[in-house]
This record gives sequence, C-alpha cells and structure tokens, in this order.
Amino acid sequence: MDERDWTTRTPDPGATLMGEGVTIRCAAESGASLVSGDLDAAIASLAPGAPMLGLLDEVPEKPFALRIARDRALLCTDAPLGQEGWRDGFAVSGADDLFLVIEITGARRDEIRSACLGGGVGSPSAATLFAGQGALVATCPGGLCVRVEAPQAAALWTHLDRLIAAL
Amino acid sequence: MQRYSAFSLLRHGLTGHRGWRPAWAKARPRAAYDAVIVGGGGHGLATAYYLAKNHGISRVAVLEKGWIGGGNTGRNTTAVRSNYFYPESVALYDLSLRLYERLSRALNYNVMLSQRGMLIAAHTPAQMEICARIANAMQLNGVDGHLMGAEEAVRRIPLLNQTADARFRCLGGVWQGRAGVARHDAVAWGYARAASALGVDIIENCAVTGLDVQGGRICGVDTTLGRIRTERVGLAAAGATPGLAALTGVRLPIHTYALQAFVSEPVKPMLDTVLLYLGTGTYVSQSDKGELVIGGGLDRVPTHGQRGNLPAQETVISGLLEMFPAFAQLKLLRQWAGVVDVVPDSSPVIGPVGPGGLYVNCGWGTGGFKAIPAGGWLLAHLLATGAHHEISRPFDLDRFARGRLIDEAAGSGIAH
Amino acid sequence: MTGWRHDSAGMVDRDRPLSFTFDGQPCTGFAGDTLASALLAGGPRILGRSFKYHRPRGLWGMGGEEPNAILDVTENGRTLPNVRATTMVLRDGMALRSVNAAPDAARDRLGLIDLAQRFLPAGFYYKTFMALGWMRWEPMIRRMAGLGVLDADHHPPADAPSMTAEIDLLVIGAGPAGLAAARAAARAGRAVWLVDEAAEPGGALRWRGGEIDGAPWQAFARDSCQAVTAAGGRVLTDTVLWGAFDHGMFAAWERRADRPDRHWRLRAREVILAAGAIERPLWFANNDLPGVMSSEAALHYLALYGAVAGRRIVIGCAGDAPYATAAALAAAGCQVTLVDARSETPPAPEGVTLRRAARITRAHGHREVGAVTVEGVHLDCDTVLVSGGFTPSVHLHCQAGGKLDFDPRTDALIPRPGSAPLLTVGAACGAFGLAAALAGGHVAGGGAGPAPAASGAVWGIAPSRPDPKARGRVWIDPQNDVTLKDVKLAAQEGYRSVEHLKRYTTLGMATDQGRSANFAGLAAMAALTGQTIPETGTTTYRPPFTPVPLSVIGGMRRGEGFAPPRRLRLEAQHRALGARFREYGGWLRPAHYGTDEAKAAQAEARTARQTAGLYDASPLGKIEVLGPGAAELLDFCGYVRMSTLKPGRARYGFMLSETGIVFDDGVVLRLAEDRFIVSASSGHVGSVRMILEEARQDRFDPARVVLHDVTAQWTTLTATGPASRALLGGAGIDLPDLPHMGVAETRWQGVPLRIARVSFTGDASWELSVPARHGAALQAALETARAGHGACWVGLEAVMILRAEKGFILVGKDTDGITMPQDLGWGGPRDRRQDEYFGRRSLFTPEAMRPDRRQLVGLETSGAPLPTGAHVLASDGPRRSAGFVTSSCHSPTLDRPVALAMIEGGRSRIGQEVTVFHLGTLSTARITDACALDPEGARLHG
Repeated sequence: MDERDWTTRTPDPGATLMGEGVTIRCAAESGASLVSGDLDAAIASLAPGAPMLGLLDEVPEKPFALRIARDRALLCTDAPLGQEGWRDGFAVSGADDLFLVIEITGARRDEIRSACLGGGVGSPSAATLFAGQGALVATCPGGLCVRVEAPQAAALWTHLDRLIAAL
Repeated sequence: MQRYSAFSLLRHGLTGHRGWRPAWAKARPRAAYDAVIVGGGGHGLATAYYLAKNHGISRVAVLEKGWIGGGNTGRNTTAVRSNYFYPESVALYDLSLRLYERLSRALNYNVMLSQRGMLIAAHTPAQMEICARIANAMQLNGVDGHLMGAEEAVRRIPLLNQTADARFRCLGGVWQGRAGVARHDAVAWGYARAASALGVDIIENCAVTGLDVQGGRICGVDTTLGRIRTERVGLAAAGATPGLAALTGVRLPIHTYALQAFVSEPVKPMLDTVLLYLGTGTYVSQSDKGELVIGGGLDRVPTHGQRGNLPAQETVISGLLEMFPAFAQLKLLRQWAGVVDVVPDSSPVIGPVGPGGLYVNCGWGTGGFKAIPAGGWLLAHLLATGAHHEISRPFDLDRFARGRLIDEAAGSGIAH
Repeated sequence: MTGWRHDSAGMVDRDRPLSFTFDGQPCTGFAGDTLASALLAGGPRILGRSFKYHRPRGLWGMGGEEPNAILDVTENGRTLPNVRATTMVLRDGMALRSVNAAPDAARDRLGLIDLAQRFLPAGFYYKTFMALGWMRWEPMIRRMAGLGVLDADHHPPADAPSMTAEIDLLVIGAGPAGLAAARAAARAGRAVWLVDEAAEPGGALRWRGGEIDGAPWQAFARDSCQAVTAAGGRVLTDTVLWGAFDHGMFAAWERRADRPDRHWRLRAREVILAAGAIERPLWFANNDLPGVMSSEAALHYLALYGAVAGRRIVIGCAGDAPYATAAALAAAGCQVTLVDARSETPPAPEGVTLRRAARITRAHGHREVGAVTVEGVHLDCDTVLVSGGFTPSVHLHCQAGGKLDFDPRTDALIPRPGSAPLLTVGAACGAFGLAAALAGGHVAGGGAGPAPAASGAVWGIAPSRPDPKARGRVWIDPQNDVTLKDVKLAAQEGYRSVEHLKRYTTLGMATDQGRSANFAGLAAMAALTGQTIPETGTTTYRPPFTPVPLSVIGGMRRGEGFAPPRRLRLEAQHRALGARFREYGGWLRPAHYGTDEAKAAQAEARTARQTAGLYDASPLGKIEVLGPGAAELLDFCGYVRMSTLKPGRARYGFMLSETGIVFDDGVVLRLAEDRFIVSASSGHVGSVRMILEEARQDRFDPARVVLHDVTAQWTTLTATGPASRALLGGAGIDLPDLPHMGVAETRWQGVPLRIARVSFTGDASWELSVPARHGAALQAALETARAGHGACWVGLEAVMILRAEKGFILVGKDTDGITMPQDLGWGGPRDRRQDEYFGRRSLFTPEAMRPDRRQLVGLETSGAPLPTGAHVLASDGPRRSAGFVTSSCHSPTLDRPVALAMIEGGRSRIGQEVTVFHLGTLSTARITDACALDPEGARLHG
C-alpha cells in the first residue's frame, strides 16, 4: 500500500523559519524535569529560588518552573538534574528530551500568537493549546517561547511555516 | 383525508388551491384518552399513527410543547440506513428502512425517500478490516451490505480527494445501496396527517408538566392546557424524556448533548450518495435542492441549548474540506443543532419504565431519524399490548442490569 | 440595459476602465466597481432566474441581503460559484455567468415552467411524485435545482489563519452609532475593537452623507478610528461578524484583497451591536420584475459608484427615508415620481413629482418593469424603487439568546433591553435617523458630555404590509419564488407556526436567508391568522449571519496539517535504512524496510524469529506512577494486581472500563517500592493517563501518588530473537542477568539505560530505553552490530505477524466493545480478587457469566490466509454469525496461515471444524488454541 508522502520533519535544534517581521527558531531543552506533589518542597530541594510561571509569564534566567497543573510543573534547568523518583512529598522524572523549545520573535510575533493561542491570558498554568497542540507557553526576551512535546513538533513547525506565509 | 396526487394537484390548481383542507386537525385536549404520547416529533407521531392503523386504537393524543417536528426531527441530516453490526440493531433499523420504502404510499404524502446509497469509507487497512466485518454481518443479517473497493468508491464519488496532498486515501468501505435520505419535515407532517385522519388528536403548544401515578400505575398527565386522564403514556420526547421519566423517579442512563449540522448554499448536482468518512468523522450528502448537508461529532459539553459552538464546527468543516477540497468554493448557509440523548452503548431504550402503563422510546442519540417508522411501530405495540415486540425486546432498559449492551460504536469500530 | 453611468458621481476611477463578460456578452466597468454596480451601470438587467418558476430576476439590493444577483465568477481559469454581485469587487477579465439558467439568463429555456405555475404552489412536491416513486423524478428535479456549478478542478488553498483575540469592548458596525460608541469608549481609555463588513467605515453615511458636529462625516469617522487605535484598540473593515456563541464568543470573517481571508474568534467582555437595518420591499402584483429595486440601494449605487438605476423612476414608500433618494436621482437628471402611502409627508424634493395617499398596486412588464399602476392610474416607467420600511439587523442579539419586542412606532421588531448580553444601538434598535443613532451610540460607549450632533429628525414611518386581499401574484421571497398566495395556502393547510411556514413554503431559506422576506412572511401570516406580530413570533436566528466560505471556517487544517501523527525521534535514521512509514495508533512508524511490503514483512518476521530483529518501540506509552500510594492506585485501576510485583520485575495486565470491557493492555514495570512505569498502547496513552488521573484525584490522596507521562522522553529500541543477546553484546551493551519479565536500570557509555526483558514476539526480547537525546547513538551502535549477527530491522507489519503467531492480542483489533478479560482466557483475577477494582461489578452480570460469550481462539486453515473480517457461522440452527476473524496472516515460521478469531464458546470448541463466511463465499477452518507457536514459551529463554 502506498504510504502518503510526509514532507514535514521534526525540526533539528538550530532550525529556523524566517518570515516578514517574524523569526522562528527551534532549540533543544538544556535540562528539564517533571515535578509533582509538593511543588514548594520540590523547588526548594532541586532549584531553590526558581519562580513558578503561568501562561505568557516572562521567563528569567534558568532555573524556573512552568506550572502545568495544580500540583505539577516542568522545572527548567541549565543542565539535566539526573534525578528520578519519589522524594519526601514530591516526585521527579527526567524530562530533558520531552519538549522542544520554539522561540517566536519579531515585530509580527503578536499576530502569530493571535493565530495560535486561544486565550486564557492570566492563567496560572502555562499549559494550553498552541495551534491545536498541547504546549507550555511563556514569554521570553523578544517574543514567545513555546514548549511542545518532541513527537508533535513536526506538526507545529510545519503549521508555523505555512502560517508565516498566510498572515 | 383528501387524496394527494398529481391529478388532485391539477384539479385544485384550476380552482386556486382554495379547496385544500388542513393537513392535520388542530385539536384541543379532551378529558381522557386511551393513550397519550408525549412528544410530537417523528417518533411520537408515528406511534400515534401505528396505534390507530395497526391496533385500531384512535382515542389517542399526541402532546407537543411547541410545533410538531420542531425538535430533532426537524434538525437532522436526513440519512436513512440499516448498515449496522449486531443482529438486534439490523432487525430494528431494517424494519424502519422497509417501512420507509413504503411510507409515501402508505401515508399518501411524499417523504421524498431517495435510496441513493451510503458509503462508510475507510482509509487504512485496519479500517477496511472493520468494514469487511460489518459487510459480512449485514449480509448474514439479511441486509444489503457490500464491501466496496477503492476504484468503485472513487467512481461513485469522483470529487473525493485523490490528490497527492490528501491526508487520507480512500481504500473503499462498506456500501449499502438501499440507504439514502428522506425529507425530514415531510415525515413528521405525513405521519401527522395520516394519524389525524384516523382520529388521533394532535395537540401543539401543550407542555407536559407532570405524570400522575396512583397505586403504582399511570392515571393521567398534567399539562399547560389542563389535566388529561389516561392509563397509558408513551414518552417520545428525545432530550426531554429523561426529565419526564424522572418525574416518576425513573433514572435513565442518558446524557444530552448538542449535535450540530450544517448546510451549504445550493449548487447543481455533484454528490450522488451519502458518505461517512472514518478518517475525518464527517458525513455529507447533497439535498435535492442542491445544498450540502453536513454533520460530524458531538459538541462534547452536555446541554439542552439546541446550539453548538465553534470548535465542533471547525472540526467538522475542516474534515469535509479535507475529503473534498473543491467544496472550499462553497459557503456555509445555515447551521443548527439538535439535542441528542446519548446512551452509554449508543443504542435506544425502548420499553416499560417505572409505574405501570408508562413506556419510553428514547436514547436514539445521533441516529433517531432513520428509526422513526420502527420507533413508532414498536412503541405502538407496547402501548397497545403492554408487551414487547420481539424486535424491541433487546433494547429494554433492563439490558444494563443484565450487561447485555448493544454497543454499535465499539462493536463496529465506528463512532455513531 | 436601462441603468446608466453618471459622468461624475461616485468614487470609481474613470481613468481605469475594466472589461468583463456576462453570459458571454462583453461589458465594461471601472476600477472601484463591484460586479453589481458595473452591471447596473452598463450591463443587462436580467441577471438570473428564480429558483422554482425560472422567472427573470434583476438586481435588488446593495449588500449581503441580495437575493437575485447570484453569479458564477471565473477568473484565471478558476470558477467560484454563487458569488453575490453586490459584495465582489470587479477585476479586469472576469467572466460572469448567471446561475440556474440555460443557455443563459436572458433566454432560459425553463422559463416556460412559469406557465404552469398554478399547478406548482408551495409544497406541491409533497402532494405528488408518489405513484412511480420519488427516485423516478429525482434526477430531473435535482438538475433543475441548485444555483451555481461547482468547479471540480478548483481546489482553493487552505490558507485562512484562525485568529483569536480577547477583547474588552467589541463594537459591531461602524456606521454613525457604532463610530460614536467606539469613539466615546476609546476616549475613556478602553481598548475597542470596531468591526464593519464594508471596506470603509461610515455605514449609511457613505452614501447618504451628512454633517456631524458641523463638519463632513468623514472627519468624524476618521477621528473615531484614530481614537480607537490610539487607545490600543483595532478597526477591522471588510470583516463580517457572523456568529454569536456561548460565553461571549463571536466569529468574524475578514476579507483581504491580496492575502488569504482570516477567521476570527473574538472573546468579548462587552459588546455593542450597531449593525444597522435593512430596507424592506413593498408588496404589489409582479413586484419581482427586474427593475424593481430597493430605494436605499439605488441611492447607494448613485452616490458610491455613479451607477444610476434608470431614467424614468417611480419610488413607492410609506416613510421619510426615500426622499433623499428621490432628491439625488432628480438632481442626477432622472424623471422621478414619489408615491407615498401617507397623506402627511415631507415636502417634495426639487424636481420630484409627489403623489400622497397613493400606493403601487401592480407592476407591468414582460421581462422587466415598464409601468406601474398607482391607485388605478397607469404610470410608465423603467425603474421602480421601493421602501416598505426597515428591518433592524437583530440577528446577533437573537443568536445570543435575546428576545424581541414589536415597536409600532418604527414598525419593527427590536431587541428587548437586557434580554441578551449585548447592547443594541442605532438603526439596529429602531433608532432611524442620524442624530438618534449618534446619541444612542455615544451613551452606549459610556460617553461623557454631549453626543456628536447632527441635524435631521427621526424618520417617520407608516406600516406597510402585504395585503392578503391583493390580487395578482405578489412575491414575498424572490429567490425561492414564495408568493403571498403560498403563505395563504400554508395558513389554510395548517402550517401556521412561523417555522412550519418557513419549512413548508421555503420562505427565508434562500441564500439571502430571508433578509427581505421574513418580516413580510410573518406579517402576512399574522394577518391571515388574526394574530399580532409578537404572537406570531419569528423563526430562530442562528449563525451564520450571512453565508461564510467553508474555507474560512475550515482554516489551515489540511493535508499533513490535518490530524498530524506523532513522529519518531529516529525517523531520519529509519528512512536512511529504507523504511516505508504508515500511521499506527496516531504515530508515524516504519511498516517495513524496503519496497515490496508483503515480501518484506514476511522476510523480516522470518529473520527476527530465526536470528534477531530490531525495532523502534518508542511510541509505547510510559506513564510513571510515583509515591507511597502508587501500588494502591494501580491495584484499583488495573485488572491484574501490581502491588505484589517486586521491584525489578514486570507484569502484564489490563485496564478495564467501568462496564468491564478491556480498554487497554500492557506491561507494568516496578522500579522501586514507590515507582512504577505503566506502558499503554501507543494510541491510548492519553486516555489511560486520564483514567489514572481521575482515580488519583477522586478516590485517592493526590499527595501520595502522582503521574508523569514521559513517553516522549525515552527512545526505546527492542532486540528480539535467539541471537539478540549476542547482538546486544556485540553492540557493547552489558546485559545484566535478567529473568524473563525482569527490569534493570543501568548505564551504557555513561548514559542511563533501562533494560526490560519483555517479549511481544514470543522470543527472548530486550527493550532498551535511553533518554531520547542519546537514541541516535544507541541506534547507531545496534546498526553497526546488526549485520554481523545476521539481524535485520523489523517494521510493524512483521511485528504483527510475530505476535499473531503467539496469539498475543492487539486491543481494538482482536477485542471490541464487548470483550471482557475472561473472553481472552484471563478469568483468574475475576475469580480470585476480593478487593474493589475498576469495572469489577460488570464482570459478574448475567451476561458476563455466560459460557457462550465470544472467546479468543486460533483458526487453522489450508491455502490462503482467511480474510480478516470474515465471520464464523453457528454450527446449528438458522444461519447466523457466531464470531469473526480478527487477525490473519501467513506465518513464515510455520509456513502456513495463522488467524485469531473471537468465537462463541470458542475455547470449549477447540478442534472443531467451522464454516467461514466472507461476502457470500464459504470455506472451512478448524478452531485451535490462540497460540500457534511454542505454547510452553521455551523460546523466551533463548
């Protein structure tokens, strides 16, 4: 049976899309862990002082945490923590390769945002749908940073490529 | 009943059509009836007709809170078919299809049954295996099921997406030649006219507010037009039936959702069959007027609102355009939603509930229109005899306690 | 051609003439024209044919409410059907074609149908076409129905972005009321989104003109728009707000000239509706003739395009609005007679003949209007303009759930204040007249101080109605050919509710959605049934407000962007090895390597069984369950208890639904007392996680157990087969001494490596999982060692053969919506477990306990493999299905077909012959155990 031709590919870290007034770059995650349970205790233990960020909050220098649910967050660090398992009141799972980071910068980034983000400004959770894909969305210098699970990155990347042309 | 025919149309045309009488009598409620049917949609009206026609019981009232046929009967995508998997379902829906085949003549009202065929289309080998399973089940159940290959499917539906960019390549699917569409309003009006002619009272703008029970048996209904005595009540009010049954303490395993449907502007004929595409979940046909009639999955939020929202619309329509890229030339003309009563196994609930003399015909979910004649036939049987017809027995409410679910969606692998 | 082009009026660019054709006839226009204005100024009058009677139809209106001028437009070899001439901008080289007319609008052959009109009233098709059956007539009827023709080769691109915005204040309509509201709100510092369907703001000001605050209206419009953008808001023109949905969600369609259109989802905290009103026609005999037009539209065409409708013009009205039209047309050089039904009227404009207390009772003409009868007097004319009042555009108010009240002063149904979560101002709420509109908008926008000022009183209106006693054919719906007689017939036959009226006669169901028909229809029905207008009610208002292209709603979800599958991290590596991909469980995975699928699958399976095979198992779900409560959670959510599993071991289990049906199967690994990894089938990971999550939150203490879906964090490669241990050694992987169903965490080249000795093939098998960033290195190492050990990469088709040989199920293929664990031979936990678990109760219903349930077995046959989906017939009684084939293939290991099937009472019938039915053909097979190869499992320890 003929397979359908799939022309889209998962972007490699460093891949870039350029459009009029917008640049989209793919980056690898330097290090990340899923933490659940007592998030305060988790952060105090693993990355003291890391702020807990919600939708479109500005990310500082690492470490920081992107809240996913009431008691779950993605802790982003400069390097893999190498921790796994249940601690006292919280759990850690390595997630260094779970997400790809897509940065959207440029004068027209707000239009991209309007075309991909459904709303929910001010939500305490950074987890949302971005162009129909589950993603964690924050603000980084110059624009948006979108974390999408690696298996779904190809779909988002292609969509952004077509969107730049259509906007 | 004045006979409708080309000849009478000609004759009346010569006198300015002033001689046509009302299609059904606008009745006021009497004090008592042999049977009361709650819900003036297709199922309720068909029940009244078959009570009078099959069982000679015509002291019957159909109570409708609005205008007849104004609920799901007037809001569906008009498909009729019996391409089901379980023998119990095939018996039910094919009874209905066979009644549809004779309906215009029986009611002397053109319901515009167009048996133009329906294809459930597959795009993966796994889906084709399911289609083979269904086609065989249909054949073994004595119904016209045919496993169609890609070439024949494309020949019948030339506009189906064959481009290199197509997300789904059609491999064929299950075809039922006797399936098709009918004019939904005409089904309601036809049954109303025929039932009225047999003496049934059709009472519009009459809402039921209570069910009177004494000694564990129904003895009457309370309505906005007063109290009516009766010992037999049939509930055929779709999304409103659970609430009515609850008045007697009966809990039905039903959740109510909005199901949207869409119609495009009319164009000249271009799609000659009914199509459900497994890949997108969207189904479509072209009405005799030339409009595309489109449907898909439910709005997943429970509501009685009779209106849907954008996400479901966008999903259904993007699915349609993926199947037929040329349809992107068309415009959405109308959109509406029905209130569908969904049962966990996607099969209807037909039978006695609660106090003696109370029967339900409900839970048709997204598939009630095709079943109108059978639903009416079977509920009439229950009301007249107090016992199940053999075709309705498997759909009794007790199947949930027994564990004998008739889960078409899972059984056939297709969302219903 | 009765219309003509004024030599200076309007804003078309007379230095840029454009050529186009209509039904093959050459025509000209100017840059800035719409198709309608160009046709009015210099094209034929007959632009189409009505739906039923094929009567000639001409231009009626100026916007989306146009019922007649519907055309197929061809440009650059691509055709768009059903274009409204009034809303499409003219471009050079366009070819226009009338719809539903053959050979063309002027000479339509089916125009003869009108001769039989008395036999074709509303609903005539319900009364006939029965004797021979509807299908005998349907093909002919279908060909006569429909408007334009779809261009089969024209695939418009899927390039309409879906934009979302959260808005503080949404103002719908940029006419005077909308502009005033937006300006007031913006000046108060609010971010306002002002939306209008025209290319420029102004609404009716654009063709009526007017002074606001002592200056031309353009200054006011400009000032208002600037205030909006300065306050952080936005002005969207060429944008139709077409739907009101729940919770303040509105949908809009933005048309752009040189870029793709856009679909807007606007979530607004506050909404002001200033959508204006649409002119009503008048109702007299033959009011459908080409040349009978909306009076407001005629003014619109003159002022904006210099297109004049005719030269000898009669204007019928019962209100003040058309006086401006009369004045403008007279000034342009037309001979104008104004026929006003009222006895008290404004003075006649200069150059206009005015008849008071007079009504048009009949229009005359064969194919276009040539005269009218006014109170018995015959008046020659070439154009009849009509104004029967205005219908406020309340659609969005009603879509949002609002109610309407009838206002006799304005003869209109207007929004009941407070009945919907939006505020209506201007003509949309019956405030006809510039000053009234400005005042209402200003207040609604929260304006401080006085409203913008304009002169002019509120328009006077006397009600106009279709007269049930009128003689002749009076049209209510011009596109669908619904006349007053049809409304009478509907009333007479009992189709009296407005919904029945609409459905029986099709009034209001044409592409103009009843803009000019609905009010007349309900007014006529009210008169016929002796009810008031409020008592008669209206039909339900639903989106879309005006027809919206499907391409805009469908957006960019197309082709690869439609339900895209998930992708493997190692996809490039697999492609380099010649993999052909297919979608499995929502993932794109190698089906086989090389070109010939059937041969490759067989060869790969044979090699994997005889030597060794490698495959990518990354999509298999990995849900970590962590915490002191983890075991308890898994015991409840799973059918097989996991609390008794020791750390370092793995166990196969099921997840059931509440009805006891097998929902998913998979292996659970226990890494520590408080750490498990649940593997879920690749297509079920999300739903399995949600079932666990729901139990975690609702039934257990979420502080003691948590869930992490880390499926995408790990790359998992599996080595299987008798030579797999050697292969792994050759790749430098130090295999710990693991028993079958053991798991160990170790390292490889400094990188975490988890090894699970789990087998889906029945041979010794090792699943190797590394963090995904190291997957390529692992794959490279295995690939380097592969050839030297006679192994091959194995696609999913081969894996399916290997598991079929062993009778291992695939949930959803070998199970269906009624399969319970005991049907698969897994009745043990049901019999032994005393504790509560998900689905338990359902396993003990009478149905669940029946011995003749469909059970998983194997089927042996000779010759070709059985077709999957074939049914097994019951051995006695009437012919019926007793089950079906769920998996089937040729086994390269056994060199014969193997199949799995679900058959009633199957396990007690092993050894029996059965008849197999497939599409009418019969064959035989023998029931066997589901496992066809190595039932003792010796190969697991190889």
